[in-house]
Formats: sequence, structure tokens, C-alpha cells
Amino acid sequence: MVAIVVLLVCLFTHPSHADKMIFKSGETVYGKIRSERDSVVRYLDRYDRPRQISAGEVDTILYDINKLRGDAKAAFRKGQPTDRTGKFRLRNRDDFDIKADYRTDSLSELDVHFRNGIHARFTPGAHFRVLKAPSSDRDPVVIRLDSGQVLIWGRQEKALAQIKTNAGVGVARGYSSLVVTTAPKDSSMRTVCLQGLCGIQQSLASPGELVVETGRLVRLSASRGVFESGPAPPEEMQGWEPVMADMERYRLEEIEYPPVNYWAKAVTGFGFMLFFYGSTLGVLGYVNNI
Amino acid sequence: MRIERNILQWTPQKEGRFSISLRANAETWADLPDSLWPSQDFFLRTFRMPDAQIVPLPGKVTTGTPVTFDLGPSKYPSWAWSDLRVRYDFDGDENWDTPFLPFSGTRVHTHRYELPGTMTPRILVKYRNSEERSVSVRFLVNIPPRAVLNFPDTLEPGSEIVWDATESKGNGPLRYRLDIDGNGTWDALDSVAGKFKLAAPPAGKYTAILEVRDATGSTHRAEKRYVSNAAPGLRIKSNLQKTNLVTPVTVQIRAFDSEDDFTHLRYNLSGLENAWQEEAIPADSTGRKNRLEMEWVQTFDKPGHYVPQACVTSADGRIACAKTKLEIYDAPPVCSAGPAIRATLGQPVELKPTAEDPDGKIVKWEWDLNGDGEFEFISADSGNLRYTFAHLGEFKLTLRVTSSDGRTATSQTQVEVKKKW
Repeated sequence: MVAIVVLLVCLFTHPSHADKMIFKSGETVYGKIRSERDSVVRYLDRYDRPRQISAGEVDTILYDINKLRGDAKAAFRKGQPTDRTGKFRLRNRDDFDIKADYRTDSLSELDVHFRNGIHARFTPGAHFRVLKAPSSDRDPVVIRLDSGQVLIWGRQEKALAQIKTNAGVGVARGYSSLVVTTAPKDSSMRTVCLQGLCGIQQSLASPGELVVETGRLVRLSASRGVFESGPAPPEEMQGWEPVMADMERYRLEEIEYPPVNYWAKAVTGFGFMLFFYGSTLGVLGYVNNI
Repeated sequence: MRIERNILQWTPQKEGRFSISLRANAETWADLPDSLWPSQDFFLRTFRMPDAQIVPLPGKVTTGTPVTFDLGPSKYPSWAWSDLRVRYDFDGDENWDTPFLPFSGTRVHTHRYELPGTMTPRILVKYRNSEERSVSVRFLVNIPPRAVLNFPDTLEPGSEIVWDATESKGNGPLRYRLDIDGNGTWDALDSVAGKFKLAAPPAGKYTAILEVRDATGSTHRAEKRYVSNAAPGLRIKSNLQKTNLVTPVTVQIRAFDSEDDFTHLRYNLSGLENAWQEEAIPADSTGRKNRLEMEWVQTFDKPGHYVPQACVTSADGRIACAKTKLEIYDAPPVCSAGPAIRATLGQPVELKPTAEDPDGKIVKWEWDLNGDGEFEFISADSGNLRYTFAHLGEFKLTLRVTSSDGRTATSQTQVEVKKKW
């Protein structure tokens, strides 16, 4: 009877979801990531046992979008971002409050993953607020960047991010990488397109955006209102390469446990149970017959 | 001799030297011996006053010719010369032209008449306060005929030349004879006109002779050397009469002189005062330099009207010049924003405008991408760009280009944006 119950549980229970880590050794581990700071990734394995591993051994971290509470997943690579008052500290496992202004200090880097496949990395010294977080993969992300720099990484075809600054709006569409930097002192912004379809426009009400070609840098100042295009400095392009490679390691997507072959295990267990049950009955019968 | 009231009047009857003794007497002195009468003796010379005479003058003289009035024939005693005075009225107009002059120094007087006409000079001779004697003559002062022949120094052989003698002067109507080649045969006779239309002789050096005869029969000849030689021919032309600032203009000259080589070639492609240049004369295959065909390619950096010109000088010194006209204008740029665009939402469209400045280059491309009248896209390289439309609807994109000379042109294109086409 017990065996039948176990079998039914195995058959009809919904597969579990969790974060996923792929180690450089090729091993895949499912669990819940608690922290990725200090070169150590701490997580709870699938049996909720606390584990940790050197970050250098981790190749890819995939956050489970199904376990996401709210519209954005915040994870910080360095330090902890604070709000404008400097009192609020965002922790890795906290929900991301899209109604708050965030300010990364001089050390912290914050990654924010959105449901539409946009991955934003705010560099130290960034001051921003998420004006609109997508609830589906077709909604755009609208971020107001008051100062500092953000790297936008689009991970799906419909991804759309609009980074609004005092001078204009930087736009990343689809599979693209865009760096937006704004300087509040002179109300200017600059965009560098690392890959994909990037753009810049004067306001969200503009008919569209001027495409910023890959490897190009476009400046826009509120006072002049003129796009100034030119090649991006090679050293800047080279400087973003390791950052992009690092961002590639972090994803927010639907994680599904792989088929753990419950059927086989259940049937095998059931067989063993029957075998041992039969053997036990046989042995007991034999003994009784002695 | 008669004496009245102590005045003695005596008319000598002959020439001579007289000794006159005057004695005073009175009735109360009748008894006195003659030796006691008061007396005075004096001498007196008498001579006949002859008319003044001059050496006969010619009936006519020419202006500028000195006329000598010689009173030598006058037979005044030599002792009287010192007391003779003479004055002249050279033209007979009743106004004395000289004051009384000592006869001894002005017996021969020369006068030069500058104006023509009939002259009746009068000469007055006076001995002390005695009677005056005058002599008058009459003669004609003429202008000498002067032949003047005008025509070019160098003539085109066989061409009809106007030989102009109308500047000749003389008394009355003049008659002309012309020998254009100096061979002694008069080639033309003319009475009044003074202009001859005769063909120039064959190539060579000649002396033309003009003889002028006035009404008085006086003649004068003028000679003029000239060369009959083919003039150099020169043509200049440009392949364009009106063009813009960057299009090169080819200016071509052709020159030919059938007889002489060219020695100098000067040209001025712009027509400006200081733009003349010298060019060496190339020799042809036979070593001659009497045929020129040259061309220059020139671009002009300022709009305006130009007069390319050239001059060639032949060995005979003749110069031929020619010019042509050329207008250089500053053409405005022309641009096209391209045809109407059908754009899909969220997908970039390429804008590939075209523009050109016929006489310069486009130095600035500008786009107004949001229709606010401000050109937010500026590029010096090209107007190509990609634009992603984020809203549905119809939009106008405006292109403006600026040429290197600051002139602008604009063009618009229509964009319709849909989710799907």
C-alpha cells in the first residue's frame, strides 16, 4: 500500500523548479542561490542543505524565473547598493522594489534581471530608478538613469529596454548590448553599442530612435539636442569585453529540473519492494514450515 | 626870300650847301654903314626828299616764310640817315606794329607771317620833323600745301585698304595723287575726296607716295613706308560658355601666320588684369613656329564672368588678339531624402539620402528626425543612418545638406510605420 502511494506521488507531483548552476567541471547543480559575493557562491542544494563553492568554479548561474517574487531579480556582484538615503540596503535574496531609487556606491555593482530578458548591470556610482518593469517578455523596461553608467544586455528577441536620462533615451532592442552613461552636470548622455540593435532618441515621445551602430559612440546633450556620432574608443570597447563575458554567466530564465527518471526508480523500488516482500514471505513461510 | 615879322621863309630850289647871312636893319639905322648892322651867318643844307623805296617783294609768300623789307633803294643822303626814323605796319591794318625805329638799324627788316591772307604792309620814313614818306606794297601770304597720308603700317596683302589723305592741308581745294607701291606710277587720282580704296599690294615692303596740289599750284609730297604682310590669325574658344565652379574648362587657341613665325604668345585665362602669362612657342615638325594649337584646362574658384584671351605676336611685329566669354556660376547643392518609406515597428530602416554640389562638396548632412524643425542629426560624412520607429503612424523626415560654399538644400521623405506589412 505504501509503495503504491509513493508511486502515485512520484507520478503526479509537479516537477520542482530552482536556480541552476553549471560548474566548469560540467556538473550541473540545482538549488537556491543565497549569495554570490566575495568570490564564493553560497546556495541551498535541492535537499535544502547549505553549500558553497568558489565562484571561479562556476561557469553559469541561471536564476529560476518561476521562483521570482516581483518583476525583477536583483543580484549584486560587488558590495550592496543603497537607496538615495543610504540606509536601505538591498540583499541578494531581497525582492527588488521598483518604486525606490537605488544608488550604487563606489564599489558595488548591481545586476537586475527583468522578465523580458533584459539584464542591466549598474556600475559603481550609478543612481537609477526602474520606472517600468515588464511583467511579461513583451513589455519594455524603462529605467531612469540619473547618473552613472549601466550596461544593458538583451537576451531575447523581443527584449526592449529604454534608459531615460536628462539628455535623452538610450534604447536596446532584442539581442543587444548597450552602455548608457549620463552626466547630470551638463545634462548629457553617451551611448556605446557593443552589439545588436541599439538606439538613442531625444525623448520617449520621439517617433523612434537613431540606431547606434556597433562600435559607435553617440553623444546627446540636452542643451544642443544634436546627436554627435563617432567611433567608440577602442580601449573602452576592449574594457567592456570581460564585463560582457561575466554577464553571460548570469541569466534569468525558466529552470526545470531535468527528468529524474522517477518512473524507473519507482518501478525498480516497487520491484525491490515486491521482491523483498516476496522473499520475506517465502523466508517466513519456510521458517514456519521448518 | 621873304621876311615877315622876323620870320624868314625860303624855299630852296636846289640841293646844296648854303651859307646864309642875316642882317638886321632899321630905318633909323639907314645911315649906318653896313658893317655896323647886326648880322648873323649860318649854313644850311638842302636836299630833295625822295620817296621811300623798298626792294620789290614776291607776289606771294607762304606762311612762316620770313619776308624781308629792304629800304635800301631809298636815296636818302648818307648824312641824313642818323636822323631818319622808320616804322612798320606789316599787315596794313592801320595800326603801326613798331614804333619809330632808327633807320640805320632797321633799313632791312624781316617779318614772318603766320596767318594767310592778302597783306598790304606800310612803311613810314621820317626825317626829323619834316615830311613823312611812306611806301606800301601788296602781296599774298599763302599756306603751303602739306600732304598727310594715313593708313596702317602693316597691310594684309590683297585686302582693301582706305588710303586716307584727308588730313592734308593747303589753300583751296586740294588734288591728290597716290602711288601706293612707290613704283613711279600713280595708282589713283582724286580731286576732292582724299580717300582712296585700293587693294594692298602683295607681301613686301613699300613706300606709298602722296602728292597734294593746292589751288595755287603748290604741291607737296608725303611718303610713308609700310609692310604688306599677312596678319596672324588667332582664334580662342572654350568648350563651355557657362559652367560651375568645379567643372574644368578647356580653353583652346589656334593661331596661324602664313608668312611669319610667332615670337610671343601671351594668354590670360581669367581676363583679370594681372593674370597674363607668357608661353613658349613650340616649333612644328618643320621647325617653324607659325602655327599654334594649344589648350589649357582651368577651374575657377569664384563665380563671375571671365574673358579668356590670348595674343600672339608675329616676327613682323604684328599682334593678333582674341577673346571669348565664360560665365562661372555657383551652383546650389541638390539633395534627395529618398523615396517614401514603409517601416515596421521596432525594426530599423535605412535612410540613404543623396546629395551633390556640382561645384563643391557637401560638408554637412542634417536630419530632422522628429519633425520639430530642429536638425538633431548632423554629420560631415554622409546622411546615411538607420532609424528604428517606436510608434505607429506617419512621420516626415527632413534632410538638409550644406555645401562647402555655405548653400543649403532640403528634402523630405514620408515614413509610414505599421506593425506588419
